[in-house]
Amino acid sequence: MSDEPRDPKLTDAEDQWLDRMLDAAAPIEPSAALRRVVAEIPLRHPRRESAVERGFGLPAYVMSFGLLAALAILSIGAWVGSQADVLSDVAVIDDGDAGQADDAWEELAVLAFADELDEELVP
Amino acid sequence: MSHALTLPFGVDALPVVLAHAGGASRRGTDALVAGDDDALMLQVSKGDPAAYRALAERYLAGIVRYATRMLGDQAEAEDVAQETFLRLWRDAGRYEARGHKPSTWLYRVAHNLCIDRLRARRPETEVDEQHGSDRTSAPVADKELAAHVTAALAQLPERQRAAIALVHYEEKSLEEAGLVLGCAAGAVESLLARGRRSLREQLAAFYRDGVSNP
Repeated sequence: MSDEPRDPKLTDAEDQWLDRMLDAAAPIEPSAALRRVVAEIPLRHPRRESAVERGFGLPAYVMSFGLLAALAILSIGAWVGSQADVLSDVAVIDDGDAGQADDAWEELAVLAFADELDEELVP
Repeated sequence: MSHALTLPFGVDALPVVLAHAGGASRRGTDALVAGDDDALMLQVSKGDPAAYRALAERYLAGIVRYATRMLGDQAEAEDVAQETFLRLWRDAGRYEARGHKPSTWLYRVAHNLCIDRLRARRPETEVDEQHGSDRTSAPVADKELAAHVTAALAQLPERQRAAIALVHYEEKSLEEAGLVLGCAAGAVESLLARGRRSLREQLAAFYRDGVSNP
């Protein structure tokens, strides 16, 4: 095995010389056309926001009002949902009276359509 | 500061472009131009064209230099730079700092685009053979010397070339270069050492006891 290091370092003089050599490489500047194209990217590629982000094209106060209305509807829905037990009790009571209601309806129907009206009108 | 559109891409041009694009106020623009990169990046993520232009003005030249060193072709490098800044505009919202600078992110995007192009190029030669191994001990003109240095750089493996381009030409720290290349600072140091040694050998014809050209 050689005692020589696997990655021998450059001497200081070589380092300085190499830096000067690298600096001798031709300078590179972006072209005017590239500068223009890059500057115009925001104009050529407008950001695409979602319909929600754009507020569907509506003014902010309209969107705020809509949001409040939606919240109000949701609140009412939640309250109605919380009353579900009470409503079901009411429904059970209605079912118990169903037979009587049908009889009353028959009587009303007779009067309404005046099925026996001719007999009553006979002199 | 003049309001006239004196430069196609200068600070003076910003109010004019902004008036067209419906961007921030003039006072806001001045603040943005003077702002740090993180603040500008945040503004870009919100869709502010003035902040985008301030960042582009700062880093366009560096990205073009870096891509040209990597690809050896300025026209192709300008395509890479354009794509890099398009991504800055489009994808700034997805940028997450994680302690890294926006400039590091830009160089990393450009680096990845360069690597993609280099991979697509293979197995074609990456080196201009005219200068690749042509060595002479005669004094050479600056232009010719520059061509030799460029050719020697082009012959390096891409990661060594990237390390030299980032650390020597773009004056990045080893840590920053590591973030761009996706490796540790120690690995960048090793890439640099190997690259410089290789360059020293390739350009040996110009070396005379450390006092030769240039």
